[in-house]
Amino acid sequence: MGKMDNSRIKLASRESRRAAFVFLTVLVIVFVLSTGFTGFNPLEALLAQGEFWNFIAVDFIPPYMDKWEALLRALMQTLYMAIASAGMGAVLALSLALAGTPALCRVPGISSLVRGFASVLRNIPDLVWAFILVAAFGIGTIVGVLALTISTTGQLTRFFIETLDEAAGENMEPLLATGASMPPVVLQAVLPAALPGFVAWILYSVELNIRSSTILGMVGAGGIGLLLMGYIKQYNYAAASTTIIAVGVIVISVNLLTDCLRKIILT
Amino acid sequence: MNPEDYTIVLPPADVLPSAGTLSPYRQRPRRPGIRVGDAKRDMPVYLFLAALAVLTVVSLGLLDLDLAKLIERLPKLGKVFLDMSRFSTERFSLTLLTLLETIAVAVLALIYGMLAGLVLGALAARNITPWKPLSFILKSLFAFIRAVPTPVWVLLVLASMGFGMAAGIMGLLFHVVGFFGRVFAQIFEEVPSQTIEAVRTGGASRVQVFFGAVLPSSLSGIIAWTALRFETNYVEAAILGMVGAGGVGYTILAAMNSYKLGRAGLAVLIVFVFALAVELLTTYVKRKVKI
Repeated sequence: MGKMDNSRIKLASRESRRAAFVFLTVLVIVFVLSTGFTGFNPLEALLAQGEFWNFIAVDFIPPYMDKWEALLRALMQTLYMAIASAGMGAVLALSLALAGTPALCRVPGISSLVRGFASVLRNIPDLVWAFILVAAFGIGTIVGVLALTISTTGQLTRFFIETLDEAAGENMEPLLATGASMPPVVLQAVLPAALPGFVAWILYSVELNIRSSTILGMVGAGGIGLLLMGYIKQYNYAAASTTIIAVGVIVISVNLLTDCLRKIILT
Repeated sequence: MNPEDYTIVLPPADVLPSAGTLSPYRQRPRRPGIRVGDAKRDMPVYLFLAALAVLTVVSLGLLDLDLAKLIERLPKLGKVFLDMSRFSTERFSLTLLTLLETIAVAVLALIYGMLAGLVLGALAARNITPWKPLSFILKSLFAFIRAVPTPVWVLLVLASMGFGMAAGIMGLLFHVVGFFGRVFAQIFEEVPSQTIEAVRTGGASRVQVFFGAVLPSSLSGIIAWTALRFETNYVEAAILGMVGAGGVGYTILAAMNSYKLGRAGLAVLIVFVFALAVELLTTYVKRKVKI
């Protein structure tokens, strides 16, 4: 047996028991309300599952594809959309975040203004943005890039402000007290301390964008989603299943790649 | 202003760093001293940022965007926004009803998914799984389920089950189960082995170990992640309508398609207000339980 250090058994504290009680009560209430409202019967749904898996097994297997070139082109388009919008979103978010961090920009009101703006950008789902943009620009990859850039900017601004605030909070006062002026302090101390955090969040938004660009494609923003939607509408399920597998593969490989980068860059 | 208000939040969406660690999103312990710029140490970071800049420009070039069209239609975008901001309360009760539908779908998928996730997460956690390979198999399955976007799952369910809220719930459930299975397994794995050993040597069975030791010490994590997931669920339930399932997404889609932009605008505003409320609520819950 190994040595038992700090051998007190860590069980739930009194606060976390109370939190759990409140949480459970809320869950039960909303569960009852929602079930009453929708009339959802889990047993019925479970029975219908048989039909669902049957459908998958018969119509989707084996996957088949004859237009590999179209698939590859659509995949690359999705990748380009995800990367381009992450890059543009990061630039926009950095400028917004520099203005929106109270410690760096001391003009009153600017911070709340930036936060409010970013919150509008991210709390309207990107698919809704895509719909608005389609109404103006028509169907095309431009809609996908713009919609993704909008939601990336909203997300990253929130996270960049948090990162900058943390970096500024601990470092700025002592440096300013030595008589240094604001710009060099920001460039030499705050930004370098915040950069690793920025990188983590940018990688995260690339991951998110790959997923989102697939979804956006389904409403006409180009890329792999458009191809997939086409196959499903034509009842060409064998080709659709190849496309779905391709989506899975690309999402997993991008996640592996970003994990790898995270390890290399951030440690 | 209190710096405690700005601790790094966990990602609101269902992507977890697949390496199995939450570290980049968790606050790192602070090292003493001021971290000033150091070109040599920060090299990888600068290289990454430079590479990202190059890739962004190259991607934009390869996408071959129609910039002329973009500029030409820009006034039209302004007009769309203007039309949408002239809110129209036409069939407003329907908008509210479909919003309630969306919320109910999100809630039910959350709760059923959480229950399934607790069971599957326990089976997938390396330290308490009854059979080690099962942990690996389940985690790979979770990863695959989450790799396929929710609307695709919903479309598949719609194609086999027909329309309705049940199809929406079932479609959402795929991701919710994949998410909770993964997250709960990780939370369970973080329970110190002494806790489990102590209860086990006392003669407790597997089930008793789970309910007596593992679950109580994971409570705050479970609460925080469930609250966080609701944020994602709500957004996903809201967009489901746009791929053909019901809910407020369908209301927006139908209004946009029939050029009732004022109606669509009000629906978008309501979706936004509720999303904001949910975001504030999860931020509050996270601060309360401190993960």
